[in-house]
Amino acid sequence: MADLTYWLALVVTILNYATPLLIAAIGVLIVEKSGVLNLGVEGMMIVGAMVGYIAGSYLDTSSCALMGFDGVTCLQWEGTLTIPGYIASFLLAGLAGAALASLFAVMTQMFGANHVATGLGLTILGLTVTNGFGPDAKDMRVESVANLLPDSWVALPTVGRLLGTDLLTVLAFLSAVAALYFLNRTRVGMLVRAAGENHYAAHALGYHVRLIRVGTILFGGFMAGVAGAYISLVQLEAPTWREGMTAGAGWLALALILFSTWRPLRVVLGALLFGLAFSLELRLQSLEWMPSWGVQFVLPSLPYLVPVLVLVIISRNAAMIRANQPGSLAQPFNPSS
Amino acid sequence: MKLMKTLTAGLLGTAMAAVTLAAQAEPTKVGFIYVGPVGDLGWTYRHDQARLAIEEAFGDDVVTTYKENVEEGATAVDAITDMAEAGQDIIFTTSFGYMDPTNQVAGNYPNVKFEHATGFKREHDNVSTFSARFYEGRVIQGLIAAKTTKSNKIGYIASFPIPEVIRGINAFTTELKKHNPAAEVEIIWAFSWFDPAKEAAAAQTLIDNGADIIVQHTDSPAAMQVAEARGVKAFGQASDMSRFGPNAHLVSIVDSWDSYYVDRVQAVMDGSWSSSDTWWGLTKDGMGGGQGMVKLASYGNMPDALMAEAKALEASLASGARHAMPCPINDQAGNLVKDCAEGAEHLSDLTLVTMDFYVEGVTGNIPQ
Repeated sequence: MADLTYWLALVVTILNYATPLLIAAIGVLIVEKSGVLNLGVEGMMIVGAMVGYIAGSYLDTSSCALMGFDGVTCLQWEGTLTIPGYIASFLLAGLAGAALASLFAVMTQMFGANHVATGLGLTILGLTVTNGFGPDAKDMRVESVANLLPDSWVALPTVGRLLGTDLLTVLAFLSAVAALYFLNRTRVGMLVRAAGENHYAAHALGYHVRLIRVGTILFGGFMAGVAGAYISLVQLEAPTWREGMTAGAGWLALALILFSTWRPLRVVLGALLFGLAFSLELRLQSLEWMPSWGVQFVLPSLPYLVPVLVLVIISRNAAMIRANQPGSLAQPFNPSS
Repeated sequence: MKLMKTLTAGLLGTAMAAVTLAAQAEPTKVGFIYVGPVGDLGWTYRHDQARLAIEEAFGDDVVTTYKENVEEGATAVDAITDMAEAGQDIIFTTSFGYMDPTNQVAGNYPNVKFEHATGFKREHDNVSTFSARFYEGRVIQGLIAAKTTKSNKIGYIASFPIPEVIRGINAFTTELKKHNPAAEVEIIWAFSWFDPAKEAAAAQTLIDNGADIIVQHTDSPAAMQVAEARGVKAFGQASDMSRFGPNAHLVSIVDSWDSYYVDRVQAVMDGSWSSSDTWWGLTKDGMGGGQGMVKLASYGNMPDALMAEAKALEASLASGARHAMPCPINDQAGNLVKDCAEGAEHLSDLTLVTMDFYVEGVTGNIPQ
C-alpha cells in the first residue's frame, strides 16, 4: 500500500491543507509586522469562502463565453470553473476580505479602537453575516475547478496527483519567499517593520504610520479572503459552501504566526506541520490501531491539538518570542499626545 | 332531572359539533425536524420533498413547518418541544439520533403524534417509527461494484456505527464478495451525517489508498464530486446524485418518503392514526405491491449487460423472489449467524433492525 503513489498522495494532501493556512498567515504576518493585531482572520476567511463560491457559481460558464468560445464548448464546461473565472472568483473573494478588513482599519486607525476587541468583533460579524445571508447549496453550485495543466497530465498515474496541484498552492509558497524579500529588502517593507517596531519613532521620522497600517490591514484582509475561497472552491475537490466551513482555519493562521515567531520561512514550516495534522486524521483511522474513542474524538481534534502543543513548547522560549515580536504590536498609538 | 340530562346532552352535542367544525376549519399542522439543511441535496432534501408532497396532496388543509440543522441528542429536545408547543398535530423527526428526544417529548405531549425515522423505540402510544430497507439497494450496489472495480478495492464512507449503517455495510459486502471474492472494502467513519468537508476528505483518502469505487452512507454529494474529479466511480445516496458525477455515477439509492408521509397525515385527519412500525423496501409489502420507500435512480457508466443484471436483481428483490440477505451468512469469526443456524431462509427483521456485528468479508471492528 505504502508505495510511491501513496506517499505522493500524502504530500499533495499536506500541501492542500497547508495552502489556505499559509496564504492567510502571510497576510497576518505583514499585518502584525506593522504593529497591528487583527483577530478577525476567521471572519474575513469565511466571507472570502462564501463570496468566492458565489462568484465561482456565476462565473463558470459566463467566463467561457467571455473567452470567445462557442455555445457548444461552453455547455461542456458548465459547472466547471475555468481559469479566468477562477482568477476573478479569487480576486472577488480577496476584495470581500479586504472590505471587511477596511471596517477594522477605520475602527482602529481612525477611531483608535482596541485591536483585540475590534478583531474579535470582525470574526463574529463575518460568521454571523455568512450564516444569515449565505447561499443555499441547492440554488447554485460549482462542480469542479479546471486544472492548470492539461487534464491528460493530471490523469497520469502517480505523478498526476502532484501535477494536479492548484496554482494557488504554488503561489502560497512563493508568497512566503516574497514576504521575506519584502520585509528585509524593500523600502516599503522596512517602513512596515518600522511602524511595527516603534510607531512613535517612525512617526517622529515623518512616516505616516496610520497609512502604512491601513495598507497592511487591507492586504491581510485580501489574503484571508483568498484563503477562504481556496477552502470553498479548491481544497475539497468538490466545491462546496457551508456555514462555518473554515472551521477555525483563521485561528490556526494566527497561531502559525506565534509558532513562526514572525519569520516567513518558519510560517511555511508551520503550515506544513499543521497540514500534516489535518492529513493524518482519516489516514490514521484507516490504519485501525487506535481505540474507537480515539478515532472519534482524538483524531478529529488533531489539527487543533498539534498547534496547541507546539505553542506550549514555543512559548517556553520567551526570549525568542521577545526578539522577534514587533515592539508596538497592538499598542495604542496617539501621535498627537 | 331528565330535562337537565337532555339539556346537558344537547349542550354537549353542540359543543362537540363546534369543536368538530373548528377542527375542520383548522388545517392540520405538520412539523418536521431535519438533521441537515434542506439544501444538502441528499437525506434532508428528500424528507423536504416529501413535506412538499404533503402540501401538494392536501393543499389548504395542511400547514407544514420545518426546522433544519437540528443537532442530534439533547439539543433536539428543545427543537421538538418548540414544535409541539406551537400546536403541531404531527411531527416527523427525521434522524436516528432523535430517537430518545422524540420519545421524551412525546411523553409530555400525548395529543401530538410523533413519527420517528429509522429508530426502534416507541415508548408511548403517540410515537410511530418508520424506516426504509435501504439495504436492498446496497445489495444491488454490491453486485455493480463487484463487476466494475479494477483495483478490487472499494472505499466506504460510513456515518455513525448504528444498525442501519452496519446493515448497509454487511449487505453491500456480502453481495460484493459473492461476485468478486478478491474485492476488499475499506471503511472510513465520518462520525457525521452531513459534513461535506469531512465527506470529501474521506473520499480523497480512500481514493489515495487505492479505491476505485466510493460508496457513501452520508448525506452530501461531496464524495460524488471528488470521485468525478479523480476519475473513479461512485454511488449516490438518498437523492439522485447523477448530476454531480456525469462520468462517475453508477446508481443512486433514492429515499422515497412521499407516499408514507401522505398516508400518515391522512390518518391524523380522519382520526385513524395509531402507533405503528413501518419498514418498506423497494415495495411496500416486499412482494411487488406498491412503491416503497427505496428507489434506484439513474443507472449509468456501466456496460449494458451489467446494467441489465442489476435491474434484474432489483426486480427480484422488489418482487420478493430474492431476499437481500439470504442464508447462509457467516459472522466475522466464520460461524453461521443465529438466524441461519436455526434454519431460517434469510436474516430476520429483528436481526436486521438490531444489527451490531459485521458479517464475514468485512474487515476491521465496529467503533463502539
